[in-house]
Amino acid sequence: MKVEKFSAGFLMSLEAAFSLTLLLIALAALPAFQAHKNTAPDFFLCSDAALSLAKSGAFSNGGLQDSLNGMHDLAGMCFSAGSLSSAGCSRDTEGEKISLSIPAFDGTELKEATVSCWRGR
Amino acid sequence: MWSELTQSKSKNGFFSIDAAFAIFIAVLMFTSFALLANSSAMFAASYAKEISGTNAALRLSSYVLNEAAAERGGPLSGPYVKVGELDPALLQSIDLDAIAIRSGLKHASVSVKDENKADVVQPLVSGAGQPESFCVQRLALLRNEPVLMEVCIA
Repeated sequence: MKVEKFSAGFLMSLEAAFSLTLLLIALAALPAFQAHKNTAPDFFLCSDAALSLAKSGAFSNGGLQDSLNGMHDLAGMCFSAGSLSSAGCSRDTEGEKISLSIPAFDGTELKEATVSCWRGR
Repeated sequence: MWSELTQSKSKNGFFSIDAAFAIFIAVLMFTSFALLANSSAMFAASYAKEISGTNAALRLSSYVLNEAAAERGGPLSGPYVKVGELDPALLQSIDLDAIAIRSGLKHASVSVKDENKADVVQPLVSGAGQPESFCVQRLALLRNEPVLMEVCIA
């Protein structure tokens, strides 16, 4: 009788452990079903913005802030270059940020400028 | 004797309920997995369609930007293309119908807007608009001002 009780208890513990393992596997697999955002269009937009800023002479003619604001209005994306960023955009965003380095003429010499782009909340 | 019989009956009853519950859980799990696999396949197909549609639109936008790029030339240098700067005349000369036919597109459109969301050049349209289309936005310069080019395909 004792052996039967032990056997039943052992089987139930085994079943519980197996269920728990299955549950843990299912929980661990959950992140695999998260949707990933297609960021290719944003990367192209950012690259276009960096190119446009460099080619329009915004780094040397003092119109960088206006250009950043204009591009934000056009594309609905936040842009920053140097210490400036589009109006109404916080630089401390938690979302994904794309940063690109481009050669830009600042009026006296060719320098490396970093342009960052992100989707504002 | 009576006690042993009751205990045995009780044990058998418990294990029958346990077995029935295990079978129920197994059926539920198989159904859930089948549903999960089905929805995951549907999501993957929809995502792949979106990615390929967006990539095709991006390729078309790059082609348009390149074809409509303003050309410059100096007395000492030959003509060269100004990447990212649009020439309205060159943009209008693009045969979007021919591109749509060659690419097997039902619909293609290219529009260029300024900061006021107004068209700065006549939009190029080929084919009737479709309920499902993929659009991408590109930034470019037109007369040294930033403009937004939107390319849609279906």
